[in-house]
Amino acid sequence: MLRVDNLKIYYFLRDGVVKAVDGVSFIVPDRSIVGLVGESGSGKSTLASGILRLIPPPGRIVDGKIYLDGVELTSLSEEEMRRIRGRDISMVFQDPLASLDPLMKVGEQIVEAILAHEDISREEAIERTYKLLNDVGVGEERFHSYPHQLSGGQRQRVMIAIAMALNPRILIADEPTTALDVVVQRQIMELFNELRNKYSTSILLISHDISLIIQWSDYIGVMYAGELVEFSESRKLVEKPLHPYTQALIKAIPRISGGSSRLYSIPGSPPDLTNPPSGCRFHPRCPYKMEICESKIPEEYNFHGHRVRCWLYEEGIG
Amino acid sequence: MISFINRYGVDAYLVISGIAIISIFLFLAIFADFVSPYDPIDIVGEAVQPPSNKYLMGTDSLGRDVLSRLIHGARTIMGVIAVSTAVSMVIGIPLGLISGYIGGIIDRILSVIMDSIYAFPGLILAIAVAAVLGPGIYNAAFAISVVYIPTYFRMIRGHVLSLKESLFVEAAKAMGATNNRIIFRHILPNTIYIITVIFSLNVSDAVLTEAGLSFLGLSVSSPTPDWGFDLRNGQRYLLSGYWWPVFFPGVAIILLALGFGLLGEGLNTILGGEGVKSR
Repeated sequence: MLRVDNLKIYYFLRDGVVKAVDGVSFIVPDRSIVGLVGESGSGKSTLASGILRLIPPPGRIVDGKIYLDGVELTSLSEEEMRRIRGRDISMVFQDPLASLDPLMKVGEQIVEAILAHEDISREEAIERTYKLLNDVGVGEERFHSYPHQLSGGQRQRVMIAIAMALNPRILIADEPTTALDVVVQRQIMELFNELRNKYSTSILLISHDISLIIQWSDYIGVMYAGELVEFSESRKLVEKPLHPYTQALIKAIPRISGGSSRLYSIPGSPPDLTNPPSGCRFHPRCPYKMEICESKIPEEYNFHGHRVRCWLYEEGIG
Repeated sequence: MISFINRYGVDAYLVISGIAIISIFLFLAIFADFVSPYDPIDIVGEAVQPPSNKYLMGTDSLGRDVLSRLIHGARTIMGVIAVSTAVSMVIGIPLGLISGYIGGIIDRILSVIMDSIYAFPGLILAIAVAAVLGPGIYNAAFAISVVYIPTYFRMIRGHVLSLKESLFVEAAKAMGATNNRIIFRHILPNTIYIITVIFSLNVSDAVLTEAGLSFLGLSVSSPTPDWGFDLRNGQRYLLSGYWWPVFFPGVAIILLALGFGLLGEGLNTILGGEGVKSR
């Protein structure tokens, strides 16, 4: 189980501090897929790199804790953290072509990932690589291919094989299907689901695509301007989205059988994180804005595990 | 080869002609003992004989065969350049990798040192180093290598800076790869093409520097055959109308520099290393 507790990641730029992740808490239970959704710049990718402690300078984790089965990650040494990466928590990125070394055979890249953590012979690592390539549906005959010789979907499968090579407890997938077409997208998501069931790996799925998140996640977190504004079991959140931003996101999903022909879009644009709005960061775009929203940061209300940060629920769910 | 030409056009011709010229000199250097008609340090006839059937490029002021000295001189210059290039690479490339990857204060210090070396004109720096070390073929090789270390350093460092930000390096980090593995397995192989380009452009320049050093008497000593040194000896007789002891070594220097220059320019465009500058 992964538990993120009040995590704050700030970028210290010359013209101010960007609070990319500002006090985010959630858990990723065992064997579950947790989806994080939000617009570009909402801090979801920073959060993903933050869990692996790979924030590039001038960014820094300024506060908060990350627990992986009781081990607190922010206090580990760099070398201890390196051992965690790949072995206990691994990551799949958005662009599979750029994430693979162009000059190394894909099989070698998997072998390398295994040998970085396990003290086994090269032959054994190669055997396991063949198995992994078969598992992810690329086929062992692709061991000697270079990344440019594979299709986008195959490359992402190779990335997943690398990420699954050490049977990690947590797999972070940062926009894993954004660069792929919808058919391949579905196959990749099915592969994630299959791997989760087979190896009991929990998946933290990050995407800007709420329909994808709804379809595949057990739990959903909604991020807005560096804050987690709503978190709940997937079913509850879809049935009754509480935060006005979540409601707007769901309303903006295009529907084939939809009545109105115009697509709904959320008015306004994401805020400038060096100078976020006072009070609730969503208030300039919120249709239910009240006076208090402009001045006070909303507290988090928890309704049987359905957490929301919005003043509308000060007196409970109406 | 045809498809190579069709694909890269002019640049393919540059590369092919460069390789052709270099191969000829390389052949002469390796098989000097078999192809040269006379021993390069033997006095084989009268002094300053014009080119003839017996002495294809004439004889020099001591009566040595100019062609034989030219062929053996290829061996000298190739040897000096091989040694100096190897030294430049062995020092410049690792320092560039370290500086670019680690950054911080180490990067600052190394960059300042390299930039101050780079600020000197190449030949003048080589003269200064060779003058301090004293004449001699190894000192000349070292002096030349000092001149070209900053080029390798700067190009590699710049490349590492961008590679270090690339997603595949980040992905390797996310998989728990150690810094050593990232530098030597991922970053270094991705700089090989740029090293090839810097190599050929630098060697072209190094040919001229070597010739310049030996022309000034800071490299080999008599009677070793060497193009720059032979230019120096022949130059005194030029005004008397004896052009051949100067002309042939001079052409050889130009051709060899041209060969590496053509190869470097062609590779530069083909491998996409635009912006690579020779010294």
